Amino acid sequence: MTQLTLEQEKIFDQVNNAIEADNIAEATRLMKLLPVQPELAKAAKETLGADYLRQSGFNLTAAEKEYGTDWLLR
Amino acid sequence: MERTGYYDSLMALVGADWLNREKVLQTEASKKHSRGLGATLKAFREIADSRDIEIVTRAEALTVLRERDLYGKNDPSVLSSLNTAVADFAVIASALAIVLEPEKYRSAAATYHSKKRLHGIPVDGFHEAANSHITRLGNRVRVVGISMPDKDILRQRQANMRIAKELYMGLQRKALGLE
Repeated sequence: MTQLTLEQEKIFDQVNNAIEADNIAEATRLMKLLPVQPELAKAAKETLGADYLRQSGFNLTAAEKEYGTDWLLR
Repeated sequence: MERTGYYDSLMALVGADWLNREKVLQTEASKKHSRGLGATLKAFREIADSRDIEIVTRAEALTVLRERDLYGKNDPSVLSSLNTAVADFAVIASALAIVLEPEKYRSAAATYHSKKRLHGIPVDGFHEAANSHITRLGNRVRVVGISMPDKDILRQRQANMRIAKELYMGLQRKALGLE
């Protein structure tokens, strides 16, 4: 199960508030602060490309921990 | 155990299961999850409205790959179906690459018998993979106990695949000089 830190939980609360307010741009901005699930990051690399991921601004720390720091180059 | 004892246990436990399920659905986390799924449904609808075959097919490919790696990890019984789905999207990507090169596509199309054509257009790998995936998504909609927001997303994903097929047929007609 994904474990969020206290700080990350607060950010995720704001994500849900943004979704409830139908402010998807804000929800997206906030989600980029939270580590993307490794499986989702891997799926994005394979379907949307490594360049997209590098430029997206998404937090890839969880994926790097799972797959290695050079995973986008492979 | 007495015969009635088996029935008593089962009655009590499935009764408790249902009550617990209803309690879970009433939690704030469950309501947030439902709202989130509603927003995801909208995102899939916007993807459909793009009428861009690359966006529509890549979005579904991303979703399918993610599902395989998230759900297949803990549930080997779904791995086979999800692996097939991933393979279908590899076929879809290949077919899309070829149809965008008319000369290559015309050579491939010439190998199709009239029985495997629809209004003169080959019912090729893209069609077969897309049809297979639409059926697969439809099977998931019919699973008992699945939430309405989840069903809505699955139905929208089916609709997106039908749009992808329609867009692809336009590309086939263009490649074959039928427009």
